[in-house]
Amino acid sequence: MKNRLNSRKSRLLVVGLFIAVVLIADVVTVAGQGSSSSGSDRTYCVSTGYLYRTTPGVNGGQPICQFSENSWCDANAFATGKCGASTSANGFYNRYGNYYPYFNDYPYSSGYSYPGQTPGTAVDACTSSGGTISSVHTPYGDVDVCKFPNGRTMDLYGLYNGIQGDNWYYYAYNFLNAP
Amino acid sequence: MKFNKLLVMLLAILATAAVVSAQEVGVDQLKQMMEKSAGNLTTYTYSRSAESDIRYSNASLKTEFDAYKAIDGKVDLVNKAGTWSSKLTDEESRQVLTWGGYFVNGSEYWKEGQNWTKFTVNDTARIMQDYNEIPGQVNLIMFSDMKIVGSEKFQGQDSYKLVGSPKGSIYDGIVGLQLLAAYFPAPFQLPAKLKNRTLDISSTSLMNNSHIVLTAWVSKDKSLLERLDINSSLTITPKILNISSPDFRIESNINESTVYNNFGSPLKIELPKEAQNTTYRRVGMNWRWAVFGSVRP
Repeated sequence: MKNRLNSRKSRLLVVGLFIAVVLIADVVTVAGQGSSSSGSDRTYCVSTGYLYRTTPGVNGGQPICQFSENSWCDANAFATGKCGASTSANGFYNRYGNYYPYFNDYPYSSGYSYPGQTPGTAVDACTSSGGTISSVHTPYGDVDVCKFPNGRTMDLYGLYNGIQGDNWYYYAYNFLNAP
Repeated sequence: MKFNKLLVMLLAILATAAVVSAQEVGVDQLKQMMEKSAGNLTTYTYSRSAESDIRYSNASLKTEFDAYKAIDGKVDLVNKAGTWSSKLTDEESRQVLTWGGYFVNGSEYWKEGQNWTKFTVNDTARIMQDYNEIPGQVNLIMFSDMKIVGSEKFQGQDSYKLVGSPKGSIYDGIVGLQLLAAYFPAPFQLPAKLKNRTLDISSTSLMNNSHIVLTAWVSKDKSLLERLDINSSLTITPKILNISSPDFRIESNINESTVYNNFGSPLKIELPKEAQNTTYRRVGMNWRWAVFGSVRP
């Protein structure tokens, strides 16, 4: 009886060891894949328009994918869909944990700014009124305005939304929240 | 006595001559000439420095965010090529974010840190416009109330010095940008009216609590913009924003200076070898314009 119990214990031990070996092998494989996938993590990060960085003191020195403004994700976690620009899709948190929403309803980036795409309504509205688009420098980047034949200027957001007057303030939201 | 009178007359003539000399052209005429010159450029280089200081305080805290940005660029409008390199420094932590761009042979390449990527370009004219810095700055002057305040030698060139401020809509736009940029690194919550975009900027006192001063140097011989300084300051409090909130104060200052050089000189814009084998990028913002505080090193 005692021998039988010992024999069972031995079998359990062997099975346990086998499982442990398999698990360790898996972990080693995953770790290996992790290090070799850093190139594709980078490719995924930059091809989606973000900044791939490694900064001592951030994410334990592991690569991060930095989104616009201040938010970021571990680069591998972003590439494997475990985290993402989902936090930045609707806004971001600054270092004090304060939340800033995104507003992406401006037609500029989807129409005029990006090459090869159909010009946005705002641009059409400007040119069809005889206006011309002028790029104007600001310390926060160049912005585009429509200059009408009578010399008046109007931002493209106002044109797009049919709002009379200048709506630079709204433009500012969208500009700062690009891309 | 006669001698004294003669001396006074001579001084008066000299003073008049100096004023006339400073006003050889009207400001509108000079603006038009500058716009025309900007449209006929072939090559040039530029250096830009910008410093942003934002101070935050309320009953219990006092903190600030200071950053410095330096950009150097080359533009070749004949061969449709350009390059820029940018360095953003957090002056508190001394951390630095560097990045750069090349536009050569119809392709655009970005270098972020040490990593190169190639950008898919369909509209090369638009990209070239982005690299061509001068027209945007000239347009800012065109949409500003400027005065010729005198003549100065700038980099050996006889130049007109102009001082002014952007006109209404442009002024509002810069103030709007500065207002939001000041909030990004803020320890305070974004006010609800800013969050849901219901704040009417005209119902605030922001315009009375902000100053934007442009100073430009334009060469006399070719009417080329040689330097443009932008100094913009803004104070934000609940009272100024006309919102109900526990008291706080934000003071934001941004000083930017751009100097242009080497007009018409031959330029060498070569893509570094390490940029040849790069990954492709589909979309992305131009991090050169990373707003102070919204992107930290």
